Formats: sequence, C-alpha cells, structure tokens
Amino acid sequence: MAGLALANIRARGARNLGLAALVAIFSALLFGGSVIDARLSQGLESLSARLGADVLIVPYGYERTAKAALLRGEPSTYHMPAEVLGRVRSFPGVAQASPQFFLASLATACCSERVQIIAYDQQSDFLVRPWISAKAPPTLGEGQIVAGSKLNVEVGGELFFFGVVHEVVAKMEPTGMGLDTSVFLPLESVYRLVGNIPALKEELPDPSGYISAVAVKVEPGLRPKDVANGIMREHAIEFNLDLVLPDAIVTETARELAGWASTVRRLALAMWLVAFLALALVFSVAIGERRREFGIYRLIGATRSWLGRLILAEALFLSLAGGLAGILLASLAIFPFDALIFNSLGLPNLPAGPGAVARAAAVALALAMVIAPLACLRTVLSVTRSEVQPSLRMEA
Amino acid sequence: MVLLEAKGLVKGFRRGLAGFRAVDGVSLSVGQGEFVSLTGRSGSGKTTLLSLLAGLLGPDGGDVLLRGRSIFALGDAGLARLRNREIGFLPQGRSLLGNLTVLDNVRLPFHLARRQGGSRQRALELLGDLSLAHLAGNRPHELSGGELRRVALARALMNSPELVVADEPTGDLDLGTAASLIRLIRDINSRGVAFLVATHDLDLCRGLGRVLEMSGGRLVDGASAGRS
Ligand SMILES: Nc1ncnc2c1ncn2[C@@H]1O[C@H](COP(=O)(O)OP(=O)(O)O)[C@@H](O)[C@H]1O
Ligand SMILES: [Mg+2]
Repeated sequence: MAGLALANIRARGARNLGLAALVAIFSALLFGGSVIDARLSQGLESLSARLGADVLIVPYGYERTAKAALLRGEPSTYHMPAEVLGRVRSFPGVAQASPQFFLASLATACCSERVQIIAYDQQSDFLVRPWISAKAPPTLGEGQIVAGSKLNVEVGGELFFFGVVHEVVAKMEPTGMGLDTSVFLPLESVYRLVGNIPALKEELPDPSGYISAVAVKVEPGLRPKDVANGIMREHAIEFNLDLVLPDAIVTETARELAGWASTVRRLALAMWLVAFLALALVFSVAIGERRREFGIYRLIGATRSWLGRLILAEALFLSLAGGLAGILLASLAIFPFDALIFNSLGLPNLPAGPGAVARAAAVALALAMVIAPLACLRTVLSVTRSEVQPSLRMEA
Repeated sequence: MVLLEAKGLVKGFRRGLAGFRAVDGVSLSVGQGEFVSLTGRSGSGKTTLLSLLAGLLGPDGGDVLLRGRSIFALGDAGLARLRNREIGFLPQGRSLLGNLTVLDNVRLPFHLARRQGGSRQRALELLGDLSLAHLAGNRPHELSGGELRRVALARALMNSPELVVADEPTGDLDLGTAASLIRLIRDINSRGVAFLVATHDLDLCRGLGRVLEMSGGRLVDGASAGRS
C-alpha cells in the first residue's frame, strides 16, 4: 500500500509538491520560531543566575565597554580608585559588593584574538566562583587561572601572557556571554602582572589602588535600579562613576525577539489553516477526478476501508514529507547563523539544548502530520461509505 | 457443476420520469469451465446483467448464487473478497491504473488479497503467457488497445479465479487483434477457467460454447433456463 500511495503521489507530482510546500512552510515557521524561543528562554533563564550581579559600578564613560565585555567578551582595560569599593559596600541596600580588575591581554597561544582578563577578589567574589566546577581548588594560587568555556585550552594546560606562564586549574561552565572567552585570576595575581606591562606600570604605579568594576548584589526585596541610583547620587560625581544593569541590557532585546517569535508562531498557525484548507479543497476535488481510479481498485477486490486507508496513507506521506522538509529547511536556515545573530544582538548566547530542539521538531512534525489526514477526512468518509461503487462501466 | 446461477434477476432504472427494466427477469447459469457468450444489441442490458452477476449492482429482484450461496448476503468485505479471488473482471474500456507499471497493475489483486509470498514471479509468468513480458516495466499510456486489454486479462487472472467476466473485450479492437485476443481467452478457457463474455461480435465466439442472446432486458429463445 505504501508503494501504491507513493506512486499516486508522484503521479500528481506538481500539485502534491505545492501542497507539501504549504505543509513545509508551516512546520518551518513553527519549528524555527520554537527553536529561537527555546534558545531565548534558555539564555534568559540562566541570565540572572549566571550574571549574578544586580548592578555593575564602572568608571564614567565605560558603560558601553563594560556591556560589550560582559556580553561579547570584547577585551578592555579601564580603572577607578579602589576606594569606590568601600563606599559601595557600606551603602544601604547593598548586600554584597566585590571588586574586579579588567585587563585586555595581547594575543596568546590559545587564541587567535586577545582575551579579556578578569581578576576577582577571592574573598568577596560571588560572580565567578559559582561557574567554576566543584573539582577546582577552592582558592587559586599564584600563576593559577580559570579559563572561559570557549577558550581552546584544557584543565592542566598552560596559557602564556604578560611574561608569565599560567596554569589552567579549572574551566568555567558555559554562560553564553563574554565570560566564555575570558580568563579569570585572583586580584593579587593581576596586580603583580601589571608590573610586567610597561605602559600600565607608568599609569598605575600602585596597581592595588585601582579596580575596574564593583559587582553589587542588592538586598532581597530592593530594586537594583533604586539602589544603583542611590549610589550614583551619592558618589557618581566624586568618583566619576557609571553603572550597568545587566538584566536590563538583555531584557529589552529579548522582549523584542520574543515578540518576533510569537509573531512567527501566529504566522505558523495561519499557515496551518492555509495548508489545511488548500489540502481539503484539493482532496475534495480529487475524489471526483479519481472516481474512476477508485472504481478500478474496488473492482479488483479493494474494500471500502482499504480505499480509505490508501487515501489516508497518501495524505500522511504528503504531510510527513512537507513536515520533514520544513524542519530541515528551517534547520539549515537557523543553525548556521543563530549564534551569530544572538551574538550581534547582544543576547545571551546559549544553544537551545538538544531536548528543546527535539521537542520543537516533534511538535512541528506532529502538527504537520495531522494536516493532510484531517484535510482528507471527508474524502475518506465518502469513499468508505457507499459513494465509490465498482463498475463495469469504464468507458470514461 | 454449476458455478454461478442467476434467478429471476430484475434491475430497473429511471429514464426521465418513467422507470424501465434494464434487466427484466433473467435466469441463467454458468458451469465450471464453461464458455458462455452474451450477445444482443447495444442497450439490451448486457452490462447491467454482468454487473448484477458480479455483485457490482444490487438487484431489484431475484438473486445470484455463487456455488449455491447468495452473493448479496455478503457484506462489503465479502464482496470485495469475491471480486478479488472468485471472479476476474475485464471491464469495458480502459481499466488499468495509469500510475502503476504494467507489472504492478497485474500484481495489485494479489496484494489486495493479503496473500503471503511474492507476486512478481506469477505476474511475470502471466504476462509471458499473454506475450506481454517485454512491456512489464511500461506504463499503460504507452500501450496499444489490444495490449491494454491483455494486461487487464492478466490482472483478472492474477488470483486464479474460476470465472472471468468480460464486457465487450473486443469492442474497440480491430479484427485481427480481436481474433487473437479471443484465441487467448479460448486458451485460458481450455485450462478450466469459466468465461462469461458480453459481445456483439458473435462471429468471434461462434463454436466456443453456449450463446445467450439478450433483447430488451430479457434472454431470448428460451435460453434463459441455461444448462444445469
Ligand atoms: N446506471 C444507469 N442509470 C440509468 N440507466 C442505465 C444505467 N445503466 C444502464 N442504463 C440503461 O439500461 C439500458 C441497458 O444498458 P446496458 O446494460 O449498458 O446495455 P448494453 O451493455 O447491452 O449496451 C440502457 O438503456 C442504458 O441506457
Ligand atoms: Mg454494455
């Protein structure tokens, strides 16, 4: 029966191609929209956890730079007096505050590009540590570093920068952000490194008097924005400060993309209806066209239910082919580029897990698979009732 | 032994407001391995009668028995099985499936029967018997009228029915082609397959077996009792 169904589909090749294409457009839209959605929510879900900080206090004028470093790992170096830390820490509403020192490395052995070096304070840190695997030593010693997940170096390997060979003692888990291409080490280590960099040594004769950013966690129940504004009112002018609200960076773009994804889904729904109606129309026309053919099957011994199953099988093949093609085409359109798109939009860039992709594919395929069978239901019912009688009259 | 028996068959149609009987009280029988020709002018009711005999039409009166059992008592599945295995059909006109090759057309009844084993060998043998082996892979639209009719015959024989019902098998063929088709049919008949053939080419069937003549929905010449 399968072979016969396929032969019949092939016999009406152009028309069936068109019908399958409608199904394909539906499944491509639904699958594509769902995958992007999954990727988005995956990124957003992990975002607050991964970012950890509610507010990032940075030197005035470096807000954009800090965002770029955070999201895309664009290397940068900037500083403010270390005094800021104490002020922020003691500000009402601040639960935790931890200093960081950023340094852009020169090209290193591991990477074709420069990497961002992020030095953190091992005592007060709450940003970096959660993303280092438990197997890593609790504190990093001199010359020990943690590598971002996307850096091409393994635990036990070495990275050479600023005249010192560093041992990689742990790798970060993927964050989907700039942290993935950064290198992490203790503040003390970076202060010693600065001595090896002639240009910086001149600028910062006492490096430990400087930091690049203060990561702040506000007390529960308080809005990060309010606390940040308070800090700014008090200290911004004196220390020339600026702030980054990490959540806000992403949510805006994310909201846009979410809106876009739901539009795609609505389109998919509309396409489902279009495909259904087109198929229903064609099937109901076909029953007239194929009356003679159906009569021949019946004449040589097909039961009515066999005929119904044949039509159903043809419909299923159409739906299946269209559904699979749509998913395949959407995959070809999305997977090579989505990382790029998410990156350039500054969105947390974690691939949607295979589970989410599989689920999206399964849902799209399942809904595609029912289009044609539902559309042919009337036709099936009419042949399984008595409408198609075998006949010796084949003159037509 | 009687294979197929009709008892007082009646079938009416409407023509305009009036009804009329296309088949009007026909009784006949076909024995095992017999050759029966059904002649009569166009419109005399031959196709309608064959359709009743094969269970393709329901009668308004009378009954059809296959080996003594009424075929109209069978449900759809039973009738389908009868058409598939017990009676082979050669309808008037073109009756092959254009989407399938010649070989697959011939094999289809086998698959409808859900039989075990392969059908390919048997179908190829049948095609060989009917000098069609070289056309096995062709599509029906590539065949001539005589070839189409022979393929339809092969298809009718696929499940080895005891009876083949043919409606004007030579109707649209030239004389030479018609004669060779009749020779083939006679050949198959001589191997024990009964035939009931509607034709107005009486010359072709002369001497082959019993001849029944229809006129106005009835059998003429008192032949309707048939041979028992
Ligand atoms: N389905 C039908 N509806 C109405 N009239 C029919 C139908 N089938 C056959 N007839 C009529 O019944 C008569 C006998 O037709 P038919 O059995 O085809 O004769 P034959 O095969 O001998 O030419 C014709 O007058 C034909 O028009
Ligand atoms: Mg006729």
